[in-house]
Amino acid sequence: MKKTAIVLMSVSLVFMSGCWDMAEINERIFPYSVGIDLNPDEGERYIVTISYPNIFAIGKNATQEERIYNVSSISSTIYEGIRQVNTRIPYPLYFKHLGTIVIGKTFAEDQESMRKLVDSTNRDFTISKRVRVITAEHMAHDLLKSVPIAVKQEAIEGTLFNMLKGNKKTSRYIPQNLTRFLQEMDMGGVSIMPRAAFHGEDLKIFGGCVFKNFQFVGHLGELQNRAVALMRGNIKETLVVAPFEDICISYSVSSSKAKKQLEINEGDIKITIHVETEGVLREYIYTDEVVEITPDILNEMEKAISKTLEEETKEVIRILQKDFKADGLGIAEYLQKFHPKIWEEVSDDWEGIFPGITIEPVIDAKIRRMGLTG
Amino acid sequence: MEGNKRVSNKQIRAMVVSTIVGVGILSLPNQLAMASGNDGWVSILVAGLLTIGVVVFIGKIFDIYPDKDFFQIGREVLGNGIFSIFLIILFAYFIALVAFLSRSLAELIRAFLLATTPTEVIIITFILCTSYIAREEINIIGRLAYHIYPLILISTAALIIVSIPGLDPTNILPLFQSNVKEVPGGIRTSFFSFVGYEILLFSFFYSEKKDGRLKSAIQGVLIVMLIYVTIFFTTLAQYGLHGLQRQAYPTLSLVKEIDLPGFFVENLDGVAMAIWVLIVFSTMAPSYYSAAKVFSNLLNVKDHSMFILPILPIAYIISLLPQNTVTLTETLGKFLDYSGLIVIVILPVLIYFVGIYKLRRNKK
Repeated sequence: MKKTAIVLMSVSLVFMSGCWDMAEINERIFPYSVGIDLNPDEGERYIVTISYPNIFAIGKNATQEERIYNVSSISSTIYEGIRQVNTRIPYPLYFKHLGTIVIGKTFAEDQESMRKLVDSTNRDFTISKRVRVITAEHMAHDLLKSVPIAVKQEAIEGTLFNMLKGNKKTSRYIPQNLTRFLQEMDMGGVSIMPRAAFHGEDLKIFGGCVFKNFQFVGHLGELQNRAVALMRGNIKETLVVAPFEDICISYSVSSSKAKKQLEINEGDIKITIHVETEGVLREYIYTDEVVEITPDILNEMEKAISKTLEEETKEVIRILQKDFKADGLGIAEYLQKFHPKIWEEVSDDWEGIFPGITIEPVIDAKIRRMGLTG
Repeated sequence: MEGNKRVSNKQIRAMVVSTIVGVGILSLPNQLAMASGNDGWVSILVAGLLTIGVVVFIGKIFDIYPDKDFFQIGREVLGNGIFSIFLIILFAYFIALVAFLSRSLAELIRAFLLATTPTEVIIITFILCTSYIAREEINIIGRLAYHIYPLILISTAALIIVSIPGLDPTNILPLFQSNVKEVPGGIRTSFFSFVGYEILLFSFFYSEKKDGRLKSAIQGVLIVMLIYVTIFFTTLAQYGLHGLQRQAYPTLSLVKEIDLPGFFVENLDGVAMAIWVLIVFSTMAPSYYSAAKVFSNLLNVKDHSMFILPILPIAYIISLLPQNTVTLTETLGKFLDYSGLIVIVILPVLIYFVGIYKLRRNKK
C-alpha cells in the first residue's frame, strides 16, 4: 500500500512541472495598433508597422524614456510581416488587446490586399473583432511614427484607440469597427471608415473614407460624413450651424432618428429618408431689448436648421450616387430587410441601379430646449 | 441496491438539459444560418417537437413495462439477437460521441486558450477526468446534471443580457423568406443538436415518481428549445445573416463582441470557454457512462465501472483519427448522425410498436 502511494505520488510529479502555455504578463507585448501599407519601393509587397507601449517608461519609477516603440517590417504577406516583427522584439506579441488597425492609403485602394486583411483578422482567434479600423491620409507607417510626437498622447491605452472609443460629442467622424465594417460590406457592398492625419502637432481623425467592394473609392469631408451618419441614423450628438435672418444660430442635436420609405412609381424606385432630430438651441444673439422667442420664431429657426441639413444631405446623396456610385446610405440593407421581393429583382445589378434611383431626404429638426434665457 | 439508485424528476429535467446542450451550442446558429437562413428558428422548433415525439415514445415504453429497465425490455421485445445488434450500434455510437466531444473540446481549447499544449494531453486529461464520474451510477450523474443545469441557464441569460446593447433587431428581418426545399436540411441540422435525450433510456427506470417523469423530460426539451432559439436570435441580431454565415463559432464570437459602456468587461471569451468546458463535461459524463453501461450489458456483466478504463484508449484513439476539424465533422459527425438515427430514433419507436403488438397478441 505504502509503495503504491509512493509510486503514484512520484508519477504525479510529472504533472506539476507547469503548463505549456504559461506566460508571465510582463513577458508579452501588447500592441496598440497595427499599420499596414503597400510598399512604395521595389521589393516585397507590404509594410507592417506595430506600435506598442514600453512598459519601463510608464509609471512613477520609469527607467526608460521612450514611451512608445514602433517596429516595421517589409514582407510579402501581412501575417509574415507580423512574424518578422516578432523576431526583432524581446517578447512575443499578443494581439488580444489590439485597439486599432491603421490602413495606408495605397493599401486601401488595392481590393485584393484589403480582402486578405479582413480575412486574416476575422479568422484570428485572439484579435477582438471590435478592433477599430481607420485609414491614414498617406502612409500608415508615417502616421504611427508621428503618434509619439503628438502633443496630446496617451501611453497606456494608445492615443488612436482613445480617440476612437467612447462617445465623442461629434459626428464628424464615426468610429468603425471590424465587425460592422464587414457587416456593411456584406449587406450592400459599401462601408465607411474614418480618416486620420497628422497636422502640425496634432493627430486628427475626421471625415470618412468610402469603401466599395473592399476598395477605397473616395473621401467624405467632415460635414458630408455627418450627413451620411444622419441618414443612417447613427448620430449621437452633433452641432449644426445654420444661417438665420442675418446671423448664424447653433443648434446641438441630442438625438436623431432616421426612417427610410420605399415608393415605386412605374418601376422607378424612390426612397424617402425621414430624419427627425431633437436638440437644444445653443447660440442666438444677445439683443438690447429682450426678445421673446415665440413659437413662430422657433418654427422659423427649426425650418432654417432643417434647410441647412437638407442641403448638406442632398449634396452627399449626389456625391454618393454620381461620383462614387456607392450606396453608403444603407439602402440595400433596408431593401433586403423590409422589401426582400424587390431586393431580389434589383440585387444582381444593384451597383448599376443605385445611381439612377431617386433619394429624397426629409429633415425635421426640433428645438426642444433653449437654455436659461427666454 | 436498486433503492439508492433513484433519480428525482428534477434531476431528470436537469439531465435532459445538460446532456443535450453540449459542443454544438457554439456553432449551431452558424449551421442553421447556412442551412435555412433567417428562418433557422423554425427548424429548431420543428426539431424540438420531433424530439419531444421520440421522448414520448421512450416514456410509453417504460409505462408498458414498469418493472423492467431498458435492456430487459429490449431483450424481451426484440429478442436477444436483434437487440444485441442494436446494442453494438448503440455502443459504437456512444464511443464515437465521446471521441467527438473530446476532440471538439480539445480543438477549441487549443485555439482559444492553450495554444501550445498538445491536443493529446487535453484529450486524455479530459477523458480521464470524465471517467471518474462515469464510473458512478445514474443517481450521481443526475446530481452532477442538477448542479450544472443552473449554470447553463444563468450563463445563457447573462450572455444575452450583456449583449443586448449591441444588438440590431432589424437584422432578424426578413422573416419567412427561405425556400421550402431548405427546411428539411435545417431540421436535420437542428435535430442533431437535440441529441443527448437518449440518457432517458437509462434514467427513466430509476425515477422516483412514475407519473411526473415524462412531463419533466418534455420540460427539459422545451427549455433546450428556448435556449437555442434565443441564442439563434441574439447572434442573428448581432451579426445579420451574412455575418452569421461567416462565423464558425457565433456564440463564442458574441462573447468577444461584448462592449459595455465603461469598458470594465471586455474579451470575456476565456470565461465563456471555462463555462463551456463544464457544459461539455456534463454532456460527456452521461455518454461515457452509457457507453460502459451498454458494453457491460452486451457481456452480461452487472457492474459497468470495470469497463470505464478499457474504453478510454478506444475513445482516445478514435478521437485522434480525424486530421482536422473539417474531417472531424465529415467522418465522426456523419457517423453520429446516421448511427444516432438508428439507435436513438428508430430503436425506441420500434421497441414501442413491437411491444404494443406483442402485448395485444398476448391479451388475445
